[in-house]
Amino acid sequence: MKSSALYIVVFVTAAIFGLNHFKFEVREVKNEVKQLERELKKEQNSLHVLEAEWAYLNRPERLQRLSQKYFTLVPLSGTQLVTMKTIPQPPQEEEPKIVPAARVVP
Amino acid sequence: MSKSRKINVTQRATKKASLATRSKKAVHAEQGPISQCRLRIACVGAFFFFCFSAISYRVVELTVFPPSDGDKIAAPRSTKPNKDNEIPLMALVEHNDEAIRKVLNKLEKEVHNSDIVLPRNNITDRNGLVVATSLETASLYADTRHMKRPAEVAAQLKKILPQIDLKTTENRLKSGRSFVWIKRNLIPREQEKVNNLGVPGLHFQQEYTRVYPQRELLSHVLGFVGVDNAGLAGIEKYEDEKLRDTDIQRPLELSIDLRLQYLLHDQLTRTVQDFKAIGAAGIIAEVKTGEILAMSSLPDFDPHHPAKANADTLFNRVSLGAYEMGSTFKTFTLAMALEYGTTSLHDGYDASRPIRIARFTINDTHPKYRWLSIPEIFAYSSNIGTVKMIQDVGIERQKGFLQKLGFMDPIQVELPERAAPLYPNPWGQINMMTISYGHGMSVSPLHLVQAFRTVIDDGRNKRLTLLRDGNTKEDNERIVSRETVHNVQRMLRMVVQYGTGRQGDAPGYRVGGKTGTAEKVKAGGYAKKAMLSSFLGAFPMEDPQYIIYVVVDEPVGNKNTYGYATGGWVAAPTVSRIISQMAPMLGIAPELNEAPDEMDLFWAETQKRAEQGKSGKFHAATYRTN
Repeated sequence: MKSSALYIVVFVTAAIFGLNHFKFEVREVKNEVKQLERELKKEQNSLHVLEAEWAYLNRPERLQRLSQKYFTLVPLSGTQLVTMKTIPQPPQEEEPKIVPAARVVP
Repeated sequence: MSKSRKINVTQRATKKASLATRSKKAVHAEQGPISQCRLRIACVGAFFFFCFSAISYRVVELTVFPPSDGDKIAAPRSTKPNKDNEIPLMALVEHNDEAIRKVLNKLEKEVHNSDIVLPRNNITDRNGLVVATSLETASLYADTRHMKRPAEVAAQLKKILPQIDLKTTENRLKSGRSFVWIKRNLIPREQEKVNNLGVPGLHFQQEYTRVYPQRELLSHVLGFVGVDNAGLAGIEKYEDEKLRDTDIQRPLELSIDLRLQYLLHDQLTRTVQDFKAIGAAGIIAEVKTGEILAMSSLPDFDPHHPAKANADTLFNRVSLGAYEMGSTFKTFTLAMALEYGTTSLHDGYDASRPIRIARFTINDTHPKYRWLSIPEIFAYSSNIGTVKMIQDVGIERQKGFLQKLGFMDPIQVELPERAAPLYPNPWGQINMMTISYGHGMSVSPLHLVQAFRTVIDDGRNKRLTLLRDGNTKEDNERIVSRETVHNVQRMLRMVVQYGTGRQGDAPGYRVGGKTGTAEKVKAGGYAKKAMLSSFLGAFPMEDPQYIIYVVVDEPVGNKNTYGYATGGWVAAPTVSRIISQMAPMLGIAPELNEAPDEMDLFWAETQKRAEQGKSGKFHAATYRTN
């Protein structure tokens, strides 16, 4: 038997094994991807439902009812708001000038 | 001996030589097929070697080296449109080229197999809060071909789903059909209970149903959908195509602000209760953009069960109702008189005696029996003064002005329920006079707000819209000059400072507006006590940002209003409450120091002179201090 023929046979067998191995791995990864996509879809669905639920629980009528029940807050009136102009500012003091000693005329 | 050896040697040599040549030949003969074979094997082997090495190179390349950008997994898709991503590509496309925009949209948002496809897009308010969405629910149907004990099953179902009719369900289960609906759109709890019955033949089908988380708050604006999720009323119908567009899964953003919508709805409900009215309508609109921030019509309905609503609750008073607006219309009479220059703010008319034409008399509700200046005519809502004003303007100019303000055309808004105004044809002298104070012509509240916006903002027309950024920059023609706008603004403020609109004031917000009390037209003429009390207000009046309009249908005076049910007693306080609550929400600071201007001095002087019994126009020099 020629050694080169043996080498070829060995190589071909190894290649077949390797190819199948990768094929199998790829199939596994593909399944993983499909599974992840399915889970993502489920989560997106949940998000969608939760978005609607959130909007329902946060409707103004319900928030008003709950705030009246649990808090003692009243509607804000305009007279409770002020602007900076209306707040009396402290008088601006003149900072004493720092004169370098060398410039002071004795 | 040597000769024989020589011969032997040569013989051997030749033998060897001949052997050699013979073996070489043999070898050549041998090597021919063998070498060919070897060559072929080598070729095939090299070919396979090449193929496999190519594959292994690719494998090594994919696993060992980092993937390039083209193969990267894209960022997760958000349900809200990313305005920053949109603009650069969109800038290349014309606004009306829908097909190209669709394609570009698809490219921008990488769609994955993990994305859910909704049958109908969401609708949100201007801040992204969901007001309409489609949720998956189970619909119950039965395969009755092998149904045992249908009556018992029907009774069990009735216990779980009280809304179904027992007789109908029983008949359906007995029918022997392979597919018959029992109830559509069950909630998960109901679905679980029905499932737990364990009746073979009862099946569920996943269907999407439209859900409105805000319930009746936006019922007239949104409308409702039918069984097949097609829009039947409101924006659901008007924008049905956009909502059903599954290629562009983007929520429809309304201009409505949910907080203001609730505020308006709450205050209107309270007013209707306080005054035992049969209905009310209100609008809050943004002046600069024409966007409608809140729109409410009472009574309203539950959009999940539109079949249970009656005609009155389904009726959108804001867009579909056509009413005689009453004194709020005097704003436009004033605007046209000032615009055409037939009068000025220092002029006036004699309102001491009622006007008699044909068979009827035009009176003032609160007569002063003297000459009234234009500010007084407007602030005291004098019908006599207004009629004298319009007599100087004339029919043709009145018609033209109202036409330019959009009062003769159906209203343009994103709703299928739109009112066409009713106006007299022919339009004679008497029509001109009555229309000047808001009777004899019926328009919708949206008409009124749209025209009001024109005369208090910039003098240019702008459409009202229910969609956020629904109004693109249009350069419309100028209807009134800036000077007229400024004067009208000042007069509206005076109504609230000194006139019938005093209860509409909210301290610090410089509210301006006009009250309206219109007698309703009922069968057989005007009903005496059935009124439409309204207040058309805006603030802050020196640069109006928001318009609030409230109209109450047939209010009845109560103890707090001393029996009065006019616009100033019913609608104006509602608007005042709305303004005081919405201004802090929108970040508008109150300005409590309102410096008096020339008009205040003019007003003070006219009052002083009226007390002294002096009447008629007087010179400005008498009251201007500097």
